[in-house]
Amino acid sequence: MIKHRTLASVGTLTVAALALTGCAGSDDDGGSGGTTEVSMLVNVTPNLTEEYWNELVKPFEDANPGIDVVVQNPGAEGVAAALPRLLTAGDAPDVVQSLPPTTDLAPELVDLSQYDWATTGPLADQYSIDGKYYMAGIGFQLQSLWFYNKTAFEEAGITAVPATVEELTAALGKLKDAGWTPVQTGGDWMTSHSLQALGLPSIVGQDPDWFARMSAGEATFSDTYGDAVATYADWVAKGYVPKDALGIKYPDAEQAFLSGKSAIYPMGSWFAGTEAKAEDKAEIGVFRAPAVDGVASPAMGANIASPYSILQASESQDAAAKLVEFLVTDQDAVASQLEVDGNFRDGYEYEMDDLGKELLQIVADTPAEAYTPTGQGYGERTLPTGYSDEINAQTQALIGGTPADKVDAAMDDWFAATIG
Amino acid sequence: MATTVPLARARRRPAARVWRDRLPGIVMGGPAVLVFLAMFIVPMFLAFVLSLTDWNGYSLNFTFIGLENYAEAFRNPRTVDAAVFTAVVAFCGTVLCNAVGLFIAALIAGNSRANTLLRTIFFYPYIISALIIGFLWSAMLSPEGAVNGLLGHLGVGPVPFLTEVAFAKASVILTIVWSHFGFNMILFLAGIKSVPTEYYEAATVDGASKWQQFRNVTLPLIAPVFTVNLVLTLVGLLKVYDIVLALTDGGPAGSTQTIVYQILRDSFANSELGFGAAQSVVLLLVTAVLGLAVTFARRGAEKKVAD
Repeated sequence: MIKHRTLASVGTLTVAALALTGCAGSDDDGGSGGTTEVSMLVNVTPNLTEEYWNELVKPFEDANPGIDVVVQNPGAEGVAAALPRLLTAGDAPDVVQSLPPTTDLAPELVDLSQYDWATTGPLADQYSIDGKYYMAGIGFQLQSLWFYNKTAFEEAGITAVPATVEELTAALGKLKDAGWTPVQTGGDWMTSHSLQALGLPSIVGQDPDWFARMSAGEATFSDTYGDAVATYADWVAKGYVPKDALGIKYPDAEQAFLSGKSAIYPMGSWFAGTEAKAEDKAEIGVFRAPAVDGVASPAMGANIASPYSILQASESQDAAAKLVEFLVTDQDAVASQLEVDGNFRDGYEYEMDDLGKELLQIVADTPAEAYTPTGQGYGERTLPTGYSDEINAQTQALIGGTPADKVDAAMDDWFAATIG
Repeated sequence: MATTVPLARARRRPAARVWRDRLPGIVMGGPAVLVFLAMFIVPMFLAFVLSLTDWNGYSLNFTFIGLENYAEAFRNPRTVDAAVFTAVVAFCGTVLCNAVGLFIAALIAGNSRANTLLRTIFFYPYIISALIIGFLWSAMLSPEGAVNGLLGHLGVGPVPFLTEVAFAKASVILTIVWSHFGFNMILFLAGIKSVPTEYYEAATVDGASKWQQFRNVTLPLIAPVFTVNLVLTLVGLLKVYDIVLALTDGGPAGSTQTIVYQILRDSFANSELGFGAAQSVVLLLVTAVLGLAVTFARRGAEKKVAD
């Protein structure tokens, strides 16, 4: 094992290299004049600007004059890439935002189990690792959703949103018969989103331990996911999923659906934020992704919105905990963060349109135990590293014409090789 | 021999003077050496050390696992596929960039104003950011993009430029060639312009045709430029990443992932920095070996020019 001393040497060399390029630099003096400085590494986006973050924490600083919050902007590399560099350089922030805890990251994070706001927050149990709570988030990003064009449904004679996969398949047939492009999907990362929205509500609804059993090699992809893959292949064969979708980028897919060129769009709840800002848009509704007939409680894929964690390396853990408590419980702070990124949490409302209200109702109607990870997962429900890339690549192969059984076999082989 | 010893002693300068003479060189060259050490040697050494570990980028404790990451690099089907596609891109791209660059350079080597304008136009794609080029062609080659729109007007059905594996691979290679051949063209132009006009005059007197002049005079005399073009293009294309990211994002079905794309995904998206470092070291070695191999292979052609 390489211990801290060796790593520190390596880190020092790295810092020296960075310093020479002018990339390194910190004026963190650990606080002065009796003020505790709490640094917070956040993702800065067009919505979440540096100015927004400073405004967000200002009420906290006003209420806690002894604490000065320093917002750290990781720049173009983003939080996920910046944190390893900062940890290696011995310049870790006190608080990190938007980085869900994993088994790799957990040893570097403070266990927040002593705080009620961490153990009872959104998806707290789902994200716990070995019974420890390493993050607190502001709300939900729902994943298992199908947005739909209300005009398309009317023209196709669909009077109620599908409640089962069988009804959804029938609805896609009606939409195609009515001249609509039934499913809007695209290339890049979004290809597998539709397959996961189709499969996970049934798979995890029937087997809540699916993630653990797959990781342990106790279940196979073909046995558990095979029906969903076969259904999706059937959708492709019948033209419900256009084969040329792989050439469509995410923003173009979004715009195509918004402008009424397609009937159904499987996407996360953040789409509501885009829809709210769009002009000349189609009339859009949303329904939760259904499970196959007979599954009593369909699972709902969801991610935590804006998770906050505290680094073990922090010398101001109490002050950092106060800050995180404010960010995830203060009514105004939470509502503001939810609104700016189009996320939802029962009991925290902000001004939203009808689509937003439909999503909030889905959150309110979903029992806590129904939430499931998607993709590679999180907390203790994780799949081997690289799963998201593999399922995406295989879904693209499926759309490209690879038969369902070959896709199943490729995924089985991948799990076998990865788990060993 | 007896007389040479005192003479040698007489020529020896005092150590202080030797160091004084060397000092300007050390002072002026030192910073460059330090920067080279810090920017190239130290990172390469760190990458090699990390490649022997299971470092995930976060943990302050990590384990040396020997050559396991290297074994995994050759076992992992995604890495192998990415390496194969990178080799195809590097080979086809190098051949096409140089062939097109040389052809265009030969066509527009004259001194007319039109040629000057054409040089600017052909070189222009090279100075545009690779990401912008990727996004530009992604929009143009998409199912509803300009190229398919144009083909539609000509009565040709939509071509799956980015959605079918073979077309996507070809699209990546041709986009790279489009963006890069201007660089090769400029180097070839410089080489062609440096050929003394007397050789062409002599060849003309001997009755050589334009093609014979090009083949027997121009090509041999620009052999060193050819070597530089081959090595730079080959090494550059082995590292290709940004155009792929913007054009296909590695798809469809992972078919256009290059080795650098794979390294970055493994290192940061999958938190496997040790594995990513191992792949980087292998890439570094392959790049160095191929670069040197091409250079040595071209020595014969260059020697003829020198002779």
